[in-house]
Amino acid sequence: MEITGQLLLTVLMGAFLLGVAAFLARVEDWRSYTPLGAGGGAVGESGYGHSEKPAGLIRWFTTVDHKDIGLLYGTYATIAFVVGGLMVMLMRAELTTPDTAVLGSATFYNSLLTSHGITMLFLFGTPIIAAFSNYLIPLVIGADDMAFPRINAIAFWLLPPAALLIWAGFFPLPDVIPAQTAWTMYTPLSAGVGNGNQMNVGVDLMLLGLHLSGVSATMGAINFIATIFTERAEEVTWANLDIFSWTILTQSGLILFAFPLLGSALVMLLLDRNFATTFFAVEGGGPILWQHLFWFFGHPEVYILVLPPMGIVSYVLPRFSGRKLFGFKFVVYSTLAIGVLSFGVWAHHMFATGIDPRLRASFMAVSLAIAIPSAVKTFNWITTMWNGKLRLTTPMLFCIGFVSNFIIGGVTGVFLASIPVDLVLHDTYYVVGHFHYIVMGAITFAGMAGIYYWFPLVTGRWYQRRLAKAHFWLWMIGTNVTFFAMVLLGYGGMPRRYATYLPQFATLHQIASLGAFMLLVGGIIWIYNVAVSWMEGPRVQSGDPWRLDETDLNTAEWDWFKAKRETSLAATDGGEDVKADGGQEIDDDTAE
Amino acid sequence: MAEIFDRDTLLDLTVNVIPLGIILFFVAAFVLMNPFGGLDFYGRVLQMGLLTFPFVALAILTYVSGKAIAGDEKRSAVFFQGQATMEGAREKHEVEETIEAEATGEADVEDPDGGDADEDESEVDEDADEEVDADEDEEVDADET
Repeated sequence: MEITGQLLLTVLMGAFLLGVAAFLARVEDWRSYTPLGAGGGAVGESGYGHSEKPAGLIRWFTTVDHKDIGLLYGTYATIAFVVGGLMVMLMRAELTTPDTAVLGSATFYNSLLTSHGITMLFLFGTPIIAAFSNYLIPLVIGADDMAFPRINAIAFWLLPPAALLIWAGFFPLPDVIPAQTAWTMYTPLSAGVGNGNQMNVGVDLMLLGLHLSGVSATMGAINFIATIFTERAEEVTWANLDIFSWTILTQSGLILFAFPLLGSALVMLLLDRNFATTFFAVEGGGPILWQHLFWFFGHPEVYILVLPPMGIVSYVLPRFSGRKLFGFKFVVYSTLAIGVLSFGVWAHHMFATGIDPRLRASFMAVSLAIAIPSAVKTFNWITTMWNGKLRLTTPMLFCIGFVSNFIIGGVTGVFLASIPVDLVLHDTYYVVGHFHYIVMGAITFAGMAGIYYWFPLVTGRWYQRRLAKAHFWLWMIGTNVTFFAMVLLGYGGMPRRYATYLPQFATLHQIASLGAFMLLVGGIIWIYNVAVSWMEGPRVQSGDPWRLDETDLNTAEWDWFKAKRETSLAATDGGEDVKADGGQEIDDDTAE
Repeated sequence: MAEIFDRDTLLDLTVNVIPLGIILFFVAAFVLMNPFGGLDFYGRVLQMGLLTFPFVALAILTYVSGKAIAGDEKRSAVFFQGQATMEGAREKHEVEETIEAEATGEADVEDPDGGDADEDESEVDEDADEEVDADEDEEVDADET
């Protein structure tokens, strides 16, 4: 009887999927698509006149254009960033008092903590980078589109269900509670062992969601590797490949080796949870096996997240320094070095687990070695600015903020690479402060630099510069207030992941919460600015809005933008869209 | 081979030689000093393996990437990053020659901002563009807030 019910469900689902396929086939002429990003409308009989894309929502659901997919990634990442940000604001509110007076429950705090980490790393970090790379790389390397445009679309569309699964515990579903495993999902807690509540299906759903996001990232990585290797224009030799593309290429290589491993480990964990296998049980492979597998993925993941933002900074910072990037090839080679070495440092997260001390020593050695390529880049950025003609535009401010925060985050990290120091600071707020300097102070700052820098390219409009600068200063100060307080808390011995703490930590926790509030206000300003400026910001009046031609620092994507503007002016013959703002005298090259 | 790995290329690759050197230093240190000698041999192999594997992998990647990049530099025109596909982009050596000529005062100043580090150009014109602000001059109401 039960089987019949399942069969019925399967048949129904099959019919539903067929229906969806039929619907899509009806509403969309798939053959009308062309991989050409622009100017491809004349090809094929699309029936859409001069435009190759359908209108409205259908366009976004069916697009295979790399620019559209980049925008989808960007929107998705923004939503995830808001969700993850609100989660952490609840946590910071809770931490203003030593007990659980605000949230009322440490369990809920644990759920927020887990979901905040996973949301920010997997649903915001990776997708926001994919937003930039999808939009820009084909433009910069002179490719028509990604090597596999449809796989590109599939990779994105795997992400919304991944988010739903990861957040499933927060939805009002009967008997489903959020995972409270922290983002590291350490066994035996995550295997559901013991008297806790982590055998709940909410954890399984989260693991499946993570798996899905890993599949998505892997598909994207394969696509980028293929695109950069095979779709480059003839002139873009290896010597001419820009630094952002180099970092994406390296990142894709890391994803290719790291994410499938995470996927396998997740499947093993799911089997342990649901099919009584003993991969991570004490009597089987042991809980430490999980840590090895997880961090073999997890440490490269750090570089998966940080390399492309480094690429953005290396790309944007010289534009406002009036100089070429100092030591371009140093940056390229050090990027590749980081790529390789990142797979040799995983157990520095496990110094306190009691592994063989000789292995610890080796991991310490490679961890110290990997600091060099990162430091080299920092010196390159500083030297690029040295004696340059700095223009403190918002993207430039975010780049400088990136360098500043990256130095603090990096130096605090080098200390942790040393075994004796790590044994003292392990599992304290020092670690939390250190890595937030990197993920918030550096990675997110670089993302913001990119968003402001390419905002005119994507929207054809300007953002409001005062709001943008307010955003920067709130974030710069807020980041340092929040995370430096955490570094100090760590020195004081405050353990991480706790909803409650001893009263002597209250002041520093309250300072950290104050900083977080500044980040919240800055974030609201950013969202407002981007949304309003996108809709009704002043239109840019030239194809070189940043005046890069003056310093001979223009790049291919702005050349594309220039050509697009000229084409659209010619095509519409000064038509409506242009006329609306055409009469205004906006000396846009002075805006920032 | 020797043509590709000339002095300049080797200098570029020093950036990766330093981490290789650090790993090598620790290999030597751990060979000489072994405070955990009483433990099994397998752990010792792993210890050295964890150092030699990244060392070899980094050395190979450095060689391959150096060969690809420096080789392409020798084979075809070199542009600054992101400029290769631009119409009318100047090649790297042309820009550098201009800068050099400017520095020695031999050329007419065609491109005053070519990145000349020798001249003191340090200025921070934060407010250079204050006078015309897109938010203010603009009639679309984006600036009202």
